[in-house]
Amino acid sequence: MKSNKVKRFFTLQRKYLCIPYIVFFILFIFAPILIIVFYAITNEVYDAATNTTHIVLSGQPFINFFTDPSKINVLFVSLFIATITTLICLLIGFPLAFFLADKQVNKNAVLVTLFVAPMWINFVLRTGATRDLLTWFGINGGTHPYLATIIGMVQNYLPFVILPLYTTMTKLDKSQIEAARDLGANPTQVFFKNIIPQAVPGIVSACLMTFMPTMSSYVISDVLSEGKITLFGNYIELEFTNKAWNDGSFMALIMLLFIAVAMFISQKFGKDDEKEAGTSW
Amino acid sequence: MNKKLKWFAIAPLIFAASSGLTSCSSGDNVLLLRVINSEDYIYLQEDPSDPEDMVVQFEKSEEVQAFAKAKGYSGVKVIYDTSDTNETLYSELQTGKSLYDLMNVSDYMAQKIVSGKMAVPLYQNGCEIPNYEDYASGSVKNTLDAIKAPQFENPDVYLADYAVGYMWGTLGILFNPSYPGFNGLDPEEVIEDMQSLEALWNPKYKGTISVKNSMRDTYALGVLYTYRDEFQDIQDKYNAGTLTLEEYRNKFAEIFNRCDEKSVNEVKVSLDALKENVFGLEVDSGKQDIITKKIGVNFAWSGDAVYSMDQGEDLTQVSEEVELYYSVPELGSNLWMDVWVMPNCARSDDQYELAHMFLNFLSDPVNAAQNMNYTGYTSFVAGDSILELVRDWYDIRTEEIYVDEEFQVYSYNEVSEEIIAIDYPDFISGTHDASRDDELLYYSEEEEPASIDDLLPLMIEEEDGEGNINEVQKKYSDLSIVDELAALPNGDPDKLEAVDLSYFFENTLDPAGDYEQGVDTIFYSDCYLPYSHQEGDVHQNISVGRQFFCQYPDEATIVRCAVMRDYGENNKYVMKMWENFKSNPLPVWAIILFSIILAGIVGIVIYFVVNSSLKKSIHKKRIENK
Repeated sequence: MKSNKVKRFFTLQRKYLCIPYIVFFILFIFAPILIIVFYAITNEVYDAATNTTHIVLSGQPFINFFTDPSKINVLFVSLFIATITTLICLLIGFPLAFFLADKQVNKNAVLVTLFVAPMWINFVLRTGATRDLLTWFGINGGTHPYLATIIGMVQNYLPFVILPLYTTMTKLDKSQIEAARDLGANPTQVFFKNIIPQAVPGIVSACLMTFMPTMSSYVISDVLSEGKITLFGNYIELEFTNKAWNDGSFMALIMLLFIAVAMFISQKFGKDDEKEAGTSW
Repeated sequence: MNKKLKWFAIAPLIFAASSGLTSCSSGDNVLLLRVINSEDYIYLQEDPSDPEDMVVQFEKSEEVQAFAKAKGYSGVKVIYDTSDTNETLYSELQTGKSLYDLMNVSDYMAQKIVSGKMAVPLYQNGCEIPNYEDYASGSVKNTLDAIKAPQFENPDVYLADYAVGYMWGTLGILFNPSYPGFNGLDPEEVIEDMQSLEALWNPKYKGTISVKNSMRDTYALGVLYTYRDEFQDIQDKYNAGTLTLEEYRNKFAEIFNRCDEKSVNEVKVSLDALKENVFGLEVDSGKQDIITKKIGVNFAWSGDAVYSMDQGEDLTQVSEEVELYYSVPELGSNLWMDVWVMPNCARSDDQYELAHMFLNFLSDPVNAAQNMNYTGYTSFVAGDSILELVRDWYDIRTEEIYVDEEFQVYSYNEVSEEIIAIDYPDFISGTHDASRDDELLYYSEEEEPASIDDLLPLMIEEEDGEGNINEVQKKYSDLSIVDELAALPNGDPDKLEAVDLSYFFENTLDPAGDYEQGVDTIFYSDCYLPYSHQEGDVHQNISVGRQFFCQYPDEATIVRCAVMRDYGENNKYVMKMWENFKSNPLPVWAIILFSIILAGIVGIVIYFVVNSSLKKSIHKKRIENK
């Protein structure tokens, strides 16, 4: 009986196929997060008498973050750029996705591939090219750091908005729209009362895919604002290069918090949507 | 059962195989030397016909082979790695992960490493670096050796025992006098302005300047500007003779190294004003941006300045030549050095000795010249080979003379491939008029030929010792007027400049060699801009030039440069200042826009929530009614 168990353990089972991922997850996702949390709640104390440093449990990183105006400023600047970028991306991406979802326009989904194609080129290279292009247009980071950064962000994250919206749009219930029209809704009413509610899951995931990376991105803002705008990601990097591991980790933890909140919202919306879908029938 | 893969049975085999492989390589009795350097900072072979890489030359050198044989090794292998920043190296050292015998770091980092007892002293067990002793230029070596790196229980530690100099340079303003973005400012005016750091704060140049996105460099810039009155004061006193050279340099270093809380806050005010005036803070793009004309001014390291100048002249890289100049601010600047230190990690006595041999090899003027030629940075080492290299690069006397069909005379520099027309028509016709020799000093206004292939070399017949007659191409020095150059006053922009670098080559030239101290250490070059302005009776120093000036500033320039030491205890203030400097509050328009958007989003959300709950209640009522 026992030997049978051992044998079973050593023979290849389907669930063993997950082992590579689990190893990867533990080493490169779970462990780093643990390290971040560890650094975020501890602090290094220098003991002059023995010329050594100790690590102690401390709320100092927390206090440092909320009492330092420069960190709060960075947080607001990042939130601002991320919000503006997300809005612009939605404004551009929504009509486009709606247009692309039309099977007559976008046969075999070739067009949508073209719109998503920029993602295949590394964004650092693309940003370098954008910098030259913007200088050519006369909008460079030296004179218009905010404008240049937002343009760069929109350029980089637009495909991330188009793709989820496109997926939702292709699943739009066409008969529902037709019914609304037949029952006398004007085009504005159709759009706001029918299409938008149906597209909510796509909008939420598009927002998430733009907002969070924009806040934490640092190459784009560094290159396009000529180092004049510091986003949350830049600041964490700055803290780490200055060896302020604890403060930097706490800021990374704040990012994690934002992600958690975002996940919560998206799940809530998803559920609401299901409920609504259930009640509307 | 057969079909089931017993993959675990293979694992031991793999282990066995891999351990076999490693034992194979360690079985070879090779002495390893582990070196880490900055990227592109040592000679590498580019073409199969060139000499081999510097480290390979070292491995194959007779001395090293003999050493390996004597100690019973089959050979020597250099493990050569590169790193990007001092800070990365330092954190690797701190975590004990870095196992290197030699590490190339900047001056302040060497100080920090030695203070933190992370380096071992050199010159133990009777090891020596004779080439460094003999050929390193005293002017920079003494400055390096005098840097104090106090350790916890031993305050009297100097870098002299721990560090060997490699390359050095200055920090200065690289600029393009005819940059179109200056709105038609006269290039002469730009050159005059750029001799002072105040130009970077001058609204005239708003949006055309980039400075380094690096804490130490930009802080240095801030200190130099903030305390400019004090720097001016001590310089005036030094010029007037009330301060000795020693006192001046000490005072200068004292002011330059201020980093207490009060000074840091004062510097922050200047830097905030600077941020408003600059185009941007660059990480590594400045040296390219100035060539592509995104910017007109860059606060740069001298080595990068040379790179930009060379690129700007290389017509394969740019469509139109960009002529850049470099100035070391007249009130003073930063003198930087990159040095080798030996980190504190396990190594055998043989490796310790081999590391000294490696440093000795790098300090050999022949090899140093090869490194300089490749990297464009200035070596610590002087000596005959370096002098010859610098003469070939910059001294007009080594330029060859060419003529075209109309007997127009040209000089040609093989290194820069520059052709310059010389207004000296009588030279070929034989009616040489000595009184017209002065005219040679003026460059001709005429169109310069596009290619050297259109010209004929001007040959003379020379007899060697054995009675054979050889044809030798005439050089500029054969025109026999250059000695008179030294007597000429400064001030005319069209004239060549005599630059005295005796201070650098002092005590390093071979007494039996070709070059004589004090005579051949004076260079005649057009790379120093002989621009100077007269303020009352005080004659200002030349502080602007091209490649030659970047690489070898004259003694007067070096005197007003100091090393920026490690901030030590005050590092936290500077770091805090830098973080504050980097972050900026939202501008007013953004706050307004942001609030409007937020209000809009909140409004929409409330509308939807209220709307849906209303709907639900209506729905409920309907069901109840039914």
